[in-house]
Amino acid sequence: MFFKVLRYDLLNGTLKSAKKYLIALLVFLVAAFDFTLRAPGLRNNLNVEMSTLGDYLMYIFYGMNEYEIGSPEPFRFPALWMLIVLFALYIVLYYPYNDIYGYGKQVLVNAGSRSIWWLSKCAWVFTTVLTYFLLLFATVFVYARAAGAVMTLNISKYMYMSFLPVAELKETLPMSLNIEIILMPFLLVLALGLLQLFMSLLIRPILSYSLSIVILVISAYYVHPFFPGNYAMIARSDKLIETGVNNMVGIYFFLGIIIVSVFLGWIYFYKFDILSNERI
Amino acid sequence: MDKQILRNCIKTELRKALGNYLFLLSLAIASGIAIWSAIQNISAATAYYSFIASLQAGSGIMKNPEYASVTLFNSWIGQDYTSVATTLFFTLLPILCVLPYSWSFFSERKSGYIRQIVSRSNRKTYFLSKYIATFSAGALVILIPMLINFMLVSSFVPAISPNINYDIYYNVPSANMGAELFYSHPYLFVLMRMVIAGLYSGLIAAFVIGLSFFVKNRFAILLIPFIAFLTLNYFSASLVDKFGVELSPLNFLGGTSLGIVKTSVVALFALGLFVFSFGVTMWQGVRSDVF
Repeated sequence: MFFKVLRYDLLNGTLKSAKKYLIALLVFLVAAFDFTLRAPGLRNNLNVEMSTLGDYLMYIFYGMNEYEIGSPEPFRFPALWMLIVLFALYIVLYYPYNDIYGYGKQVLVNAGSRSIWWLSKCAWVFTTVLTYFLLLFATVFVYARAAGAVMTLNISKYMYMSFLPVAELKETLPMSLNIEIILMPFLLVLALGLLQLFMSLLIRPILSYSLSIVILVISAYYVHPFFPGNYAMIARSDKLIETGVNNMVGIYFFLGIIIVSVFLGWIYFYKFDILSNERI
Repeated sequence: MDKQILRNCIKTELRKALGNYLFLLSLAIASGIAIWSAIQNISAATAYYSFIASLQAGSGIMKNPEYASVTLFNSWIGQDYTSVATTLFFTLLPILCVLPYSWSFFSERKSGYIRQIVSRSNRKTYFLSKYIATFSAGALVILIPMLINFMLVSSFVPAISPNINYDIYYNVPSANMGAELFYSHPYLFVLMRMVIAGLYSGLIAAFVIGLSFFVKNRFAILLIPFIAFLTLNYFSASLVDKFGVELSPLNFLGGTSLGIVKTSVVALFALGLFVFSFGVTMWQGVRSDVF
């Protein structure tokens, strides 16, 4: 029965909203194109001929350097990183909530279990986020290949030199940042997506989305292990800068958010009044 | 159009817009963030003045304490560019201003309530009063917190006139919209900032009524302006190095712009929002079949 409900969710929540993925595809293409325009100027600094696939992905998930509080520079959150993360969170925001006030009631009755409905929605969030990131990686892969990039996840030295603050750089820099590039942004969106799913039941979707925005903006402002956005920004990794955050701590932190959100949502959904009026 | 019916309709719509719990909730959230921003800026200003005082007390040779570098006019939410609360306020602006009442047309059409109103007045009256009420609720939910913030900050941070020699502390370059006003009549600049922020908030809120004719999901219509502004913010950040012009309303409505804020850009965006929101609302509203 669980897989039947999940199939229904994938059909209604993912396939029927294919337009959103098209917009996402467009955003990924623009981001890759943006990097292609900037890369020659950055490469010239170290006389490097080609960018790598890893450079493209680093550009997208770079985030921002630590903001020095009290400096005369205006604080601005990382525009591309924020767009990529918040668009993914928008895609997973309201389908489950709409469903429970629509046809989903029939599905719930037929499934005969609230647990199945809830776990199916969690699995739907996982699948949707995975699809979003697979689409991102596939788009960047195809674009980078077409642009003649070296198809390796290794990061070029010119990227570190161009973006990171030299004073805080570690002495030895890693060749690649596969976990930071591939796993951490995915885990961040998955964790916040599931938190949003739970919070939507409590405070409705728009406010739960606003909560995600607050978490991300605060994460951009403060470098602190308590603010989850830090783990998904390459600029904040302790592999690169002295004051950075550790990705293993991040993985445990994200798993904690995922487990707590799924568990608390499951308990709360048992008491959730599905016959009340839908609210914004 | 009967003026009495229009007046009654506007009165009813305004009562619904300004009395519902979502308006109060949005206002509370926005005010909370504005107060948080005030606290951050007051603390920073107090720390700065204490530091200057201690230097003066210690050495007595502080000839230029740079008082004008921290003033009310760069510490209130409309011009502050360093505190996280201010960034949050302007980032959440496209959501906070649509939350109070922008959903009402969508809900009334879905529930059929619109038929009751239209049959007792007419479509033009209904849509005009809906537009006015939605605009007002969206504008007020941003204006009131900005006003609270200004009053709070002005109670603690002295209103020293901005000095052009300290322009690096203000983020108002000479080519910026209203730069002359900022240095010569700073209170008028404050008023200009509030009016523009209120106008944009109202227009974004009213924009959602126009969207409701094309998008069939209530959450999507409320979040589309935010996603659009976020996308625009990315384009602005990418293009600012090349053209030097700030294109993101999330930045030029406050003080966090990196590029030059051009009057033409601000006016063009506002005009675009108005043409779409008012045009579609009145054009589609009068022609669409509510029955």
